[in-house]
Amino acid sequence: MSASTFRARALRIDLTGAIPFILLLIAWRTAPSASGMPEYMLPTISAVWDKAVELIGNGQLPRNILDSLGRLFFAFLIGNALAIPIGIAIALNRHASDVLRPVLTFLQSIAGVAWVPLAVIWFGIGMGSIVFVIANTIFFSTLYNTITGVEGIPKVLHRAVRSHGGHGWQLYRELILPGAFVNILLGLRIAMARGWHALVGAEMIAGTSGLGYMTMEAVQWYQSQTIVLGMLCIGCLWLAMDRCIFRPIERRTVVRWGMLRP
Amino acid sequence: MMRLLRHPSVVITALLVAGLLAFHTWSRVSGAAKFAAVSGEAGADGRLSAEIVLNVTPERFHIELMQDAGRVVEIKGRSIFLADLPAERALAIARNYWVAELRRWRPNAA
Amino acid sequence: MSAAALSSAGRSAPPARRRTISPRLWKGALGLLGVVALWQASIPLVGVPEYFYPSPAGVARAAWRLVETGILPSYIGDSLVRYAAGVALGVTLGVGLGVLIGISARASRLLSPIISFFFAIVEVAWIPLFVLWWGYGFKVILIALTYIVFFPVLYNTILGVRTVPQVLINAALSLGATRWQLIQEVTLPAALPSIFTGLRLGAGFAFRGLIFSEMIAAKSGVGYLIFEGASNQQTDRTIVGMIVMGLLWLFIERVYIRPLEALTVDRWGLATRAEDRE
Repeated sequence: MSASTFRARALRIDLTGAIPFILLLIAWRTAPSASGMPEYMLPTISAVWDKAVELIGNGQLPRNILDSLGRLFFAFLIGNALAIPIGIAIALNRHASDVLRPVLTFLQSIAGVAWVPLAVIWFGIGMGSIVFVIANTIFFSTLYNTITGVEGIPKVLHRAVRSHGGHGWQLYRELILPGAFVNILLGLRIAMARGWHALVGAEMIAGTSGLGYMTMEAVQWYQSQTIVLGMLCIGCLWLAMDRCIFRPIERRTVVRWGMLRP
Repeated sequence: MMRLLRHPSVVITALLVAGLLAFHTWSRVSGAAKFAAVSGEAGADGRLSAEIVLNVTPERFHIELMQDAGRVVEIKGRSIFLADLPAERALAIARNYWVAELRRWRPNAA
Repeated sequence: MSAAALSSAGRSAPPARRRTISPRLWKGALGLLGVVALWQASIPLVGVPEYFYPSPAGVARAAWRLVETGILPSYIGDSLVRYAAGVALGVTLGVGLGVLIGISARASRLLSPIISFFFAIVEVAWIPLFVLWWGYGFKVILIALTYIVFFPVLYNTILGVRTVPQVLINAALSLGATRWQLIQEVTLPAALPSIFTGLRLGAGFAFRGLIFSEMIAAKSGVGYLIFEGASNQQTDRTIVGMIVMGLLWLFIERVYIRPLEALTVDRWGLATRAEDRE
């Protein structure tokens, strides 16, 4: 929310904002030669561009991007498919909620990259362990938001639906799903962001392919062009996902229903 | 202000700090006692050799720490034999609670 | 006095229930115990090597061994120093720049675009470049943590500064406040709840960032323990590391971050908790 109000201001056409970028580019061009920084530490812009052309040409960059996105997508499906029903079930049962809450709080506090070493032992290096870690991250993020969402539905509404004869499936369809929907939806965006961080991190530690792997692997060979290229791809892909998938969904649903100001 | 001082977070922090200080004092005192055994060993350059006896079988963690301080000559059982060890580093090592004692030791080669 | 204060440390239970152990508490303890019991009971059923699936007893032994050897206390100390330094630096920069951008339209126009640009390049992506520049060690971790904390604090500070009621500013100005006094007496206090929301978010991200960067770029610390244990097939140590990580974070969050937020919310009566903003 804070970022978006900020963004709206930032997007106004204004050349003042370009000054730091120009300074940055100048610094990028002159700093290495001025400070005697060896070239392998900071590549020139043209070297990054050449690297991009080369890696697109031989198919490495597209393959790594697709690998990363595929894992994220897969883990996103698994994590949410488990988290939403389990979250609703836990939130609706007070005893279950009381018993499980500390366990879940604890597991949530360690969800993420911390699982990578263990996952590697269980699933070997590569796809399996990475999907496990991302699904785990996304699961706990969404679970938390689902439980908060369902528990946030006023008790009055439960009684109101019941007193009108609603029960069983109807209760879910008419009250719980719509009531918790906003929280779940907002949660999905946060879960995706966390998943993306964890994905890049996990690939750096235990990947055999993917953007994170590509970027970290380049450190071994002092290929700073590949590192900078990887950074740019990681940043741009995240912006694209956030702006093209989650913002529009939020705008179409949550904002339109007046439940949250953009 | 008084209410703030009695806030659980403040109380917990105070207890933690007190505990750490007590522990720190204890390790300084016991460290000095352990170091006393070798304090006379230091040569003109302020360096000494010593056998560091640990409470546990040494792991890489300990060996790396010792390598950082001096020259590791030998590791036998729970003992690490160190040469060229500056006296102040020996005292710092002695302060660790996992160090049982420091013993006099002279490398025979020298 | 201290015992009573400690017992109510967890959450703000209504005073009437403070004396007895709340059912929520023992149910929660039951859940935790249940998980450990299930874990231990599943060991003979699964029947795989200890390094593949360590038992709770094995993990407890490993934890004791790590304490005995002095490894765990030393690693926890290293991690906490790195974390505190990174968070402190990130908050200082975030609040400073946030106030500047919040009150000055010119600074906002100048700096906002480039800040958005750097915000998009997540800190994980910087770590390889940092490692290339500075090798493994404290510097990389410190800068990565500062980077993580900086953005949430910055954005929330800007939000807080921009939403200071104009009435307050006018009142202070009409009383003859200078620009610096205005910031000190009005802007900062009024923006404080928002700043703490940023701090809470940033501190959470930074803790994960700490563990991650220690896995990649350190030779000590809790993250290193998790990583190193697994690569030496001492999986029990990895699990000790994960448990310590969880406990440390819960401790930091419950004992420091939440009360800090609650304090400002109480004092200024502004509910801007990140979680229940609905």
